[in-house]
Amino acid sequence: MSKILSVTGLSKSFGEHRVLDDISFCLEERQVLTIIGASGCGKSTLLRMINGLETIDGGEIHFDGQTLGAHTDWRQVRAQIGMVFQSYELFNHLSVLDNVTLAPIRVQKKKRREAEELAAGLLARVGLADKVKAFPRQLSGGQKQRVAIARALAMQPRIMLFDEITASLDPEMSQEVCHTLLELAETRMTMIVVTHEMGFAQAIGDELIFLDEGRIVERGHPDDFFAAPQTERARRFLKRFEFHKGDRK
Amino acid sequence: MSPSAIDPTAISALGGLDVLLDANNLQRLAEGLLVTLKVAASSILIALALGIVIGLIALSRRRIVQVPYRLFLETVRIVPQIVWLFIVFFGLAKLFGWSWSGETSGILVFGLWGTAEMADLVRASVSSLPAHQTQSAQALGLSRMQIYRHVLVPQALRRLIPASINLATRIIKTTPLLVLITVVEVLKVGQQIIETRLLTTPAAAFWIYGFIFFIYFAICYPVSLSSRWLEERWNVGG
Amino acid sequence: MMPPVSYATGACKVFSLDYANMLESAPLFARAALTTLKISTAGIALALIIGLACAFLLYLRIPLAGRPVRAYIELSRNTPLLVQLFLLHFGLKVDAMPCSVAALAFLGGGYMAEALRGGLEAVERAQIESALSLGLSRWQTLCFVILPQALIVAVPALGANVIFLLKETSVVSVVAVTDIVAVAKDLISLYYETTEALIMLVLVYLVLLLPICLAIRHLERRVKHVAFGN
Repeated sequence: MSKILSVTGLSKSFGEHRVLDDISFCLEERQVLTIIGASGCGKSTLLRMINGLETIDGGEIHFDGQTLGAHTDWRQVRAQIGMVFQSYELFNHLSVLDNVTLAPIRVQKKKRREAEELAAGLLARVGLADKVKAFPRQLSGGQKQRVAIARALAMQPRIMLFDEITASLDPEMSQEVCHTLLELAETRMTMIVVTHEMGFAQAIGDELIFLDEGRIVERGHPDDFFAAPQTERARRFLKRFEFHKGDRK
Repeated sequence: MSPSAIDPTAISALGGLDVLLDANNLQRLAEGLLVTLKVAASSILIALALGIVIGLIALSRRRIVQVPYRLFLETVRIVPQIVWLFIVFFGLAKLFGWSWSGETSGILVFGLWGTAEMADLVRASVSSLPAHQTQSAQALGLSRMQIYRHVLVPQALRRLIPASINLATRIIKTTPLLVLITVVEVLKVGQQIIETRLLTTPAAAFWIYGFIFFIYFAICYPVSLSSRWLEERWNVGG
Repeated sequence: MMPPVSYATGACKVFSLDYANMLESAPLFARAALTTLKISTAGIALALIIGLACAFLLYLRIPLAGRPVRAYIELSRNTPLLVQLFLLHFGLKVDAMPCSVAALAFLGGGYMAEALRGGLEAVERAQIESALSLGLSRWQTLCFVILPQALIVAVPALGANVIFLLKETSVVSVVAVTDIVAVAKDLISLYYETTEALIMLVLVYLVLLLPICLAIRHLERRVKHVAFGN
């Protein structure tokens, strides 16, 4: 296995507020890293920094042998790192197919025919073969999110970043999207998954990072983490997801 | 640089500035402006009064109301206002012998046009209130009168007031048309002053019309600003 | 206010139109309508270009551009076209036709800028990030993602501006352009063909404006189908 992404001593502040503090980790090819933590712990900021959507205040990100920063050709990096957002951000004026083919045609200069064949294949893979001609407004939230995944995959990225992609979906749709991701993990796609769904985090991850107040508090195999969290903070965090009859007083 | 390189028109342009410094001219321009403002104010008052009444009537969905209302609105809007000014000023005199002054014709035309626009603003601001506002007020146990007084009217006004202030500036910006039907308003006065200076100060036109340009701006800009300020304060879009 | 006058004679005059005369004036009006159309087409096209440029400068927050652009928008929107024309033609000695087009473009540019800026602001900024994250350049993002969506949002406002500017073109006769209004005015003041001239004036404007109004309404309805909402 070879290292594709490594983050060392990364930090980020918004004004006075320190969002990320001394974050370091490595991502091997074909590995799935899940990141969990309370809202506002810096998970999303971390992903956005890897995709050049936030500037780097301190520390370094290395991707495929190059150091990322202000002088990086982000277009070329982003073409290799796909990202999916919580709010889908489909292009509402384009059909599902055109949403998926836009970047391959404009960025990779693929022929339309070729791009459309690729897109049709990807849409079939995420279970939306029949929605190729539909417009975003005609889709459910879960379907939109699967289109967004296909759109990012169409660039044939080396890494995929998922930023709480099930957070605005109801449980049923969230299920669909989780399954799409699990299938993607089966194909040994390299990915970083930020999520609120603990069961899913455990199922999909090869490695797990628990972030709290901008710092990595715990890391390890998901099974170990959920079976026996080592730190008090992690235990407290996981307890929030448990409810008992006695909680109602 | 040789003295001959200096543009002679530039000198005369600056030289024309004294047209504006002449107290007599300024007073005449002010008198013209007063006529402009009189027509604008009268039209705005007519538009407010009639527009609110007609707009409220137009809330009824009945055909007997909607058909004449739509007809009125579209008729007023479809042709430029100058066409209406000509019809009232020249046409009515010729057809029926009603020879009204340019000022009266202007007030009538701008007033009726303003009425149509105002009515539409009133109708739109009330009918665009979402139905669930009434329903949730009913659910709280408010009476019909209370719903109007505390829920619907305040919200409608928040949409209506900025829009009608905006309409007022549109009416003000229409008043220069009066110059075409012989009214001696600010532009006409400007023209007269320029004509007397045609030979002595050719640059007078630049200063006089530039001055009138900024008078209009000085009147309309603060009014537009207040409309936008209210809109932002009340957080109503568009 | 109403002077006493016999309504019978008035009604009589309505029906005693000189149709031959109206027919005779038709070519004059046709030529004048063409002039009006030429000025408005050129003026509106330039207004759109100016508006787009201003809207982009504001939307992209180009340094130093904000203040002058906003000042221009306020100046153009808060002064009457007629006064702009007077200043350009008599004050700055610009020829009648270029002056008419320039004044219309100056006025319209401010209105178009506001309409387009509204459209641009209505597109979520997160759409920029999602386009960038796919590897699109800033320019591609603007052209293929932001602008099309902004235009869809702005269509009603743009349409209203087009009709507004077409109607505003009716004042260019003050700088001696022979437009529809100028022809009517000549017929009234030189030949006293008041009623005939006014009827022709209304007819010509209806023929000019009705199809355009209907076309714009149709476009608005079609665009509404491309609804938004995530």
